[in-house]
Amino acid sequence: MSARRAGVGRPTVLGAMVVALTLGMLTLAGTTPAGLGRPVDDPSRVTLDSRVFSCTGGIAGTTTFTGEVGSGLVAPRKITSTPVHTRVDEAVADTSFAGQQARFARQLAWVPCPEPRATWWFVGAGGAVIHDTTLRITNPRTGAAVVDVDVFGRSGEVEAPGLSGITVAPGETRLVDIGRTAPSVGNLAIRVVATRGLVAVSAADRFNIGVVGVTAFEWLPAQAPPSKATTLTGIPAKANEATLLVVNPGTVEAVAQVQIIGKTGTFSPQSLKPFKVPAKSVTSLSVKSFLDGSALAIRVLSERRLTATVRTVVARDTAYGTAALLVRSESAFAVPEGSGRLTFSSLTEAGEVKVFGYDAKGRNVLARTVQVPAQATAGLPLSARVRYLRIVPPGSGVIAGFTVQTQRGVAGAGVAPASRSIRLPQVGPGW
Amino acid sequence: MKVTAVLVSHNGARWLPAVLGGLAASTRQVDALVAVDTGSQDGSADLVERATGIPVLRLDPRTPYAESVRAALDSAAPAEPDEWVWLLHDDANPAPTCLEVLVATAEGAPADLAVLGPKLREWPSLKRLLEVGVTLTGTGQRETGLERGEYDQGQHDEPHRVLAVNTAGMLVRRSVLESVGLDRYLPVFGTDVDFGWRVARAGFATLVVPDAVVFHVEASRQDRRDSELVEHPRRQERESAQYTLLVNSPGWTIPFRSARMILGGLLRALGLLLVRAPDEAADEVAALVGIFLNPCRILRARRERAGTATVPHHEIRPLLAPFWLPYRHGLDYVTDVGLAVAASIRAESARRRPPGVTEETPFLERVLRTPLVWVLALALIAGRSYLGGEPLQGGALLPVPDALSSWWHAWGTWRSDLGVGTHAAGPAYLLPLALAGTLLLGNIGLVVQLVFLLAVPIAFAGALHLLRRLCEGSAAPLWGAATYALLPVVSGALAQGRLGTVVGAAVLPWLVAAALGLADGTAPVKRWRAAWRTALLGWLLISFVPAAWLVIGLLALFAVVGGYAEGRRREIAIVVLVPLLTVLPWAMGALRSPGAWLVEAGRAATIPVDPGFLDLLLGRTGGPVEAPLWFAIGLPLAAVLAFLRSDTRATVLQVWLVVLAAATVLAAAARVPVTLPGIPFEFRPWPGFLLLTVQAGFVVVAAVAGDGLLKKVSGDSISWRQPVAALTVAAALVVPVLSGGWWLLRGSDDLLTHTAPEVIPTYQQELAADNNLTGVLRIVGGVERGIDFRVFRSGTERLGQDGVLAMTSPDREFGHLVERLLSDARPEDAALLASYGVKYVYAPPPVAGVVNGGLDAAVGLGGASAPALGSRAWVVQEETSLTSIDDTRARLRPLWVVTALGALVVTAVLAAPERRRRR
Repeated sequence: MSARRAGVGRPTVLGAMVVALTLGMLTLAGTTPAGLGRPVDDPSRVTLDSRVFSCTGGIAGTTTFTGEVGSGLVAPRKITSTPVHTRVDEAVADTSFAGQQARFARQLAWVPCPEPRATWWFVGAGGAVIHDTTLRITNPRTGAAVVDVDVFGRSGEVEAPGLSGITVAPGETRLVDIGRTAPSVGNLAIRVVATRGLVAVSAADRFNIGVVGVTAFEWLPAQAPPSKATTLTGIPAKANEATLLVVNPGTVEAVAQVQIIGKTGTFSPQSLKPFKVPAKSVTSLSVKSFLDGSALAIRVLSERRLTATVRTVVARDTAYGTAALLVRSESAFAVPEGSGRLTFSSLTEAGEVKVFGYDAKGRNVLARTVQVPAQATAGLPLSARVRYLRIVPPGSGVIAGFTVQTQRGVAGAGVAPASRSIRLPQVGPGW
Repeated sequence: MKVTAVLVSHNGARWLPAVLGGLAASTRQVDALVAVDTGSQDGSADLVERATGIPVLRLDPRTPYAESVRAALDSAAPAEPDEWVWLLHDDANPAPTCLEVLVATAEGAPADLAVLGPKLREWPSLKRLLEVGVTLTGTGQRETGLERGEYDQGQHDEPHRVLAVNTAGMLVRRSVLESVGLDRYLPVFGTDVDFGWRVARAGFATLVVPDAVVFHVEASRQDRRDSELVEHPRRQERESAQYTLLVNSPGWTIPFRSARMILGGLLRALGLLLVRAPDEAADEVAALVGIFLNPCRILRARRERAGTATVPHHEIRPLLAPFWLPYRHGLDYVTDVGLAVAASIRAESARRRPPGVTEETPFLERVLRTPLVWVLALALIAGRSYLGGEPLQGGALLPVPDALSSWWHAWGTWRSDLGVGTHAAGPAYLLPLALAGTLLLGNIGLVVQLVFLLAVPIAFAGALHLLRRLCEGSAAPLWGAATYALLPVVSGALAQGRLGTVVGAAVLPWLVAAALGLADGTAPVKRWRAAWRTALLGWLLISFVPAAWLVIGLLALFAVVGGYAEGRRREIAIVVLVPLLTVLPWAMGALRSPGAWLVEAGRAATIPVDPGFLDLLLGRTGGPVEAPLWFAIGLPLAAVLAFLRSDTRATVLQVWLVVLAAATVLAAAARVPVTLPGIPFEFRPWPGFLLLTVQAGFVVVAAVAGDGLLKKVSGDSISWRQPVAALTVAAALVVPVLSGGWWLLRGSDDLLTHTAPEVIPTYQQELAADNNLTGVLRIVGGVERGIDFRVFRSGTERLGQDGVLAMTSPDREFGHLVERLLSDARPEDAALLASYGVKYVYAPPPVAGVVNGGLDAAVGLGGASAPALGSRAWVVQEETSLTSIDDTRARLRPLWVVTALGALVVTAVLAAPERRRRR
């Protein structure tokens, strides 16, 4: 009896085991493995063989400051009518920098030399007698470029029929005087779009402080493309005037809100209510009261895509804040002559930024680690000896900028990600 | 008239007593007898000496027949004016009246009649005719003019002139024998035909005298004699006949005869292989090689014959076989084979006749009662859109290439210009597709259409064939076959264009049925053939579904571990290893990408696959065009409850082991994201076939356990088993009904269409067709999601090319070139692009600014027409070439290709039915 039971039982037990194992296998097979869809190769963006800085000048007495962290500053060059193109190869592309500076008795103008890209935004331009902006559109590349220039004013887009389809031959520079081609009163924003090719653009701005006041010269910094959160940096700590200029290139009115990324954190000033930015228009409002001497950055939030700047008037000079992108990797940049302050703003978590400063002879004169609290701005005094810097940001990235304020004027700028002053795609074989 | 008999013996002691007896009983005794023995080991010489009382001339064992005769004549008395020589073999027994009849003819013969030959009849049957004179065909075949095994009923009894007669029993004038002589280069075979030909050229006639009879064993030809001179009788006979033709034909015909001989020989060898006669095929080729590798022998023999002829060739021509004779023999043979196949099909169909159908049933009724006819009709209705028009494509199925040669090329080449050049191996399934395309005279579009149209009926027929072997009743196999055949339909494989699963579903039941033959415990020959048949079907399956090999391997392991392989290890080794050999070119290419073993035929990673447990249990893969899940609930339920039936439990358990093996490979395949060199991301391979195998297992266990269930359950006492069985059977029965209904009524939501999506503009596609120098670089994407590029070499991607490209590592140089073009093009980059054979760059909408800007700014790229709204195209303004594409060659691939083809031919031959060899 027991033998019979054993004979019957064995296949049953075996069968149960096989069924259970099969169901187990199907369960295993029915769960999605981790890593599905992951690229086989580590995704890497296009690495440029070289970078081209086009120092375009545009303000009398412009001098270029170019160099590389390892080899130091190259002897400054004066720019006359033709731009100076500086080409650096792949090996040093990440640590190279170039900026142009113009100095007068009481004024200091500074802008990083632009690199060719397809879309450019300048906010705070003018197209009138007392405030005029001249674009220098240069094509350092080997193929022809065709650009359209759009101008946005207080009351919408400014008609400028002559500003579309401008052909820029390889190596050529075209000048576009907004006052002549799109005359308009008030603050303007300019968009330059290369429909063919890539161009480097600078915007030399002439601004009369006061009705019959002094004429200040400054380059408008190239702003980050419109986005729902724009962070402005490179703003002087104190100013006689500070005007936030916001452009809405969209076709729908936007409601914007300003946040201050201050020393201790980010806050929305109660005195600054959300404000409207009409479609295709530029709106301005004063933010002078928030410049209390401490390091800060200004954040403009909206449901629509906007970009902005802050124009500050300090004594007889003007400076423009830069809508900057997060710097996530090691970057190098030059600063104008004079002492000032570096600012580092965190958008999310706290982090530390390693800062190394070098003098004109390439000697390391500054080595500091700056702790940046979460969603706050930290400042670091900048000595006049420092002519260029290298920063190592935290993994989460940081918005970096600087201001230089001397008796001879004020200047400020944001730090563009070193190897990505233009964004390039990741390129790979498709399937 | 004097008759001197020359008896040459060599290990012929078996027949000599009878031969000597015949000689003694002759009604006309010979006047002299000379006996020669060539080194017999069996006492032949002594036997002759004892019987005749004359000394035997003993020669070396390797003495050719011609030399033996010459030595005999040398030792005989000097020639007399009217002396004739009667040549006798030790295996040729003359009838008592033979010599008398021959002599009577010789005495009244004209002076030019020099050779007389008897009628040869088979010994020991004594009735069947062997020869009544012989001649040669134009392909070098010995031709007797008789049917095989023809009985002697006096139908050839008219004396007539022939080219030659056999030396066994030949009566020849001694003067002619000595002057013309036998060819000493022919060791045994063919001496008679050659001698007859030369006798005719010398102005003498050869006559066959059928009233004289000799019974001949043909010991040498039948390999029944130990002889150092005869090692491969078939080969040597073939070689000697070809030699005779070449040395005696007119000089100007030699090139034509040689070409005909080589071509005919190779075709004959191929034919012999196809009818599974590899030894004969090898002999055929070896004979050809033997003849043509030794031209000096031919030249020497022709020189010796020069000047001896007095009669022109054209007078001999009527004595040779007509030129068409070999073809008639070929046709006869093919007809025989065809009739045999038809008879076997008739017998098989009679065996499988549905119950109630007899030979007398009217034809229409018989057709209507055949389940396969209904399934075929269903498939034609449901898949009517697959036929005709442009190539079938969509889902995972790419359109077929323009020409059949593309498939052959992609399968066997060591490099190609595809993409930016590749030496990756072509997928293994291209070989069966190319073979099918060749059979359909290059209509490769039809190959794919037929695959998708007929897969279900073929799967049904296979499953029915298999289940009828496993079940006794007729209902369970019918249910099982219908459920199984619909699996590729309900799992979406058919509608998604999953070529691998579809072919796999059609092949699997036939393979399993062939593998059942391995279990045959009685006939090793049948087991052996079953192993080769399984291997052949394994080749077909693995070509389309490489993962099937893992299942087969796992099952073989189970069999070895479980002790089932005892006494069958050789067969199991064949089943496991031979299919590997047949896919060798691909398998060697896949060595560095083991993931390729999990990827079926069909474009990989096209449709996202992410089935859950329930999907897999119910035979779905979580993709588009699947039948509702709940349709199939009855199937796994029945498969599990099948264990309840005790009498079929052992079989059910064995099938469940197969299910477990498939599920194990399925789990392994699903858990490891696959990477292939040419696919830039990790993906989960389509689990179609493995899932189908699991489900097929469920079907088999349910059918086996359900077979005769009603009868069994009704006989048992009432318990909980009856209601459970009834519910399960009901749930299982609805599976094929619902599935079939869904297939017919679901509408046309197939991914398969005849319309090609426009991947690149039509004009670029047309320019690129068949022109490798008009490649198109297609760029998709932008800054945010990255940019993908692909090079289309000859229009859009075609079936088979995807497999090659998936195994091709990206060309980094070309990648850098595209990067530069999109970022900072150098002046020379357009020329570099042109050197990859790229004429156009195309970006479908929406085109990212960086693409527009980068390519617009690049020197050497001009605007080109881009018809689609928002798309852009550029033309490379440089002369295109292929100088920069990858020129690496897979140098060992030709070796793998030859090995694979060889293995396939051997497998096909050994899997074919045995050929009955006849004398």
